[in-house]
Amino acid sequence: MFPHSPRTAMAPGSPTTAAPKVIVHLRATGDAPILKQAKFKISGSDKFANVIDFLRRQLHRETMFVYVNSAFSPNPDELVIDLYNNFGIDVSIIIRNTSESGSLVKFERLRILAHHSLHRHSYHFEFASLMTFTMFELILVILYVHNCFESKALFLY
Amino acid sequence: MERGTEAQKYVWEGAIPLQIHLHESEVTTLPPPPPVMILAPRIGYLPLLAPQIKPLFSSALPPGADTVWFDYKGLPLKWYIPTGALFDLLCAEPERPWNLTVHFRGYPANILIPCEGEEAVKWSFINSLKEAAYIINGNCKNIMNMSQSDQVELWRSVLNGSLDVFLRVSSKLKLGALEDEYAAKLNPSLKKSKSCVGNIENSGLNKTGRVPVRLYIRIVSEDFDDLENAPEVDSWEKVSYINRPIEIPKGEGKYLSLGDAMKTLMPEYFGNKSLDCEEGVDQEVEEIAYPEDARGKNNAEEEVASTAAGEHPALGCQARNNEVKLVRVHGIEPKLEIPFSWVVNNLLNPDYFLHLCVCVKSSPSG
Repeated sequence: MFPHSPRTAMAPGSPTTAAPKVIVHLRATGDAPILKQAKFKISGSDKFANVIDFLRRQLHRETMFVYVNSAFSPNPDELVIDLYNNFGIDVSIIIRNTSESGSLVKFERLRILAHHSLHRHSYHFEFASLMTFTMFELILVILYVHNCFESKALFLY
Repeated sequence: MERGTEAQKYVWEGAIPLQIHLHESEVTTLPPPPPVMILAPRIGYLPLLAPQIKPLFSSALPPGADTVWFDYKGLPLKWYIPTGALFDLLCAEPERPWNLTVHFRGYPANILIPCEGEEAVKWSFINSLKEAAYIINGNCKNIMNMSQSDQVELWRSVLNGSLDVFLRVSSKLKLGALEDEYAAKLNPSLKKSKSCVGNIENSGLNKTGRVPVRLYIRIVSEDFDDLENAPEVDSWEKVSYINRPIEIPKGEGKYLSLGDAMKTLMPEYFGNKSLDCEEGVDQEVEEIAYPEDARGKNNAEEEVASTAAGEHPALGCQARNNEVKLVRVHGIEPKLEIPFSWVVNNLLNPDYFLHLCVCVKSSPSG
């Protein structure tokens, strides 16, 4: 149905070469346990589920909420390279171990404020300096908060 | 006040007739319960049907806790994909009614992420919306700052398929693509046809012109002439799930068709040296070729768009002939010549993502 004939020519940057690697930084904030291995390399073609699995293994927790850019939770099928391309400028991940959805909205507002005031610019510049590397770099930050009270502390900090 | 376009109304009213069978391993009664017929909204999600179908099967179930999930020909269905996109993706030749199997036991936790009822679906929806907002605006403040009542109302509008409520609430999100001033321009232009296309482009979709797209790509190796003979999807490994935003070019004389958009989204399959490439696309292709040059502190936004379209590793199609057999959205197989902006303004899902299902035939070259 497509009006053009099939062609063998590949687009520049198409997967004729190996998938780009993404280095993921995991940073503990708040009362999150500091990870032994806070930096790991992952293939861009891996799914976000692999990142979650890594965190599960590191933190020994079954349920967690993982946020990118302190903002949303990508679904586990999304590719790390897509996240890098779409959100790599200012990426952070928050793990929350409370599942009280009632407090979610209030909690998120605190969090985004905290995030914007504290991290946004520093990450931006850090990322820009990493641009010169041939490796793709994705910075993921972990915040690990037990309850809303502690998230207020985070907001003040 | 805000009124949806005619096409939006069709999208919101779109539904798929389902015939749902209880999996035989969960049938404890004789005779087994008859299958349930139900209309599933295209923009909805399968677990949302559970309250309606569960009472009809509950008497037949073995004792235990319920966690509902569905399969189609043995493939567990990912519940966070809109029902319409699942249908378009998995039924190359639309099957009506669509025969699904429901399970209340034995959740395949290795394949599906847990789903604990409506709350989980709402959570997933809001997250998807935030992700879209992030792509469009570079942040999702507007969604974070929604009042609790607006958030509930927005979700209810999706649950109930009420487009008017959705447009009223979502207009506060300033996600642009569905803004009423734009819709107002679009409506008369539909009647006047071609002469207004330029104006549509100039009016812009949203500030950045970026449109969030979720692509579901099926790759088939065998050739088939008839969609009925298309091979079944028996594993999610055979579906590439790709999230790439597309940027609508701005300025005079830039016109992006759906076909151009597809080329930008999937350069691996469409090639890019096509003779009829539009100027805007050519330019974009160059950026893709040299994404490193575009990088820097000050053009971070451009960079997101230019790298987003290129360098995708997931498709594994080296040295192959690729032929796009099918592009489908909301059950429609749109002509590739139609303006992409029309597609965006009329065929978005309520999470502001454009869910495109694509079937690609890939065979070894030579």
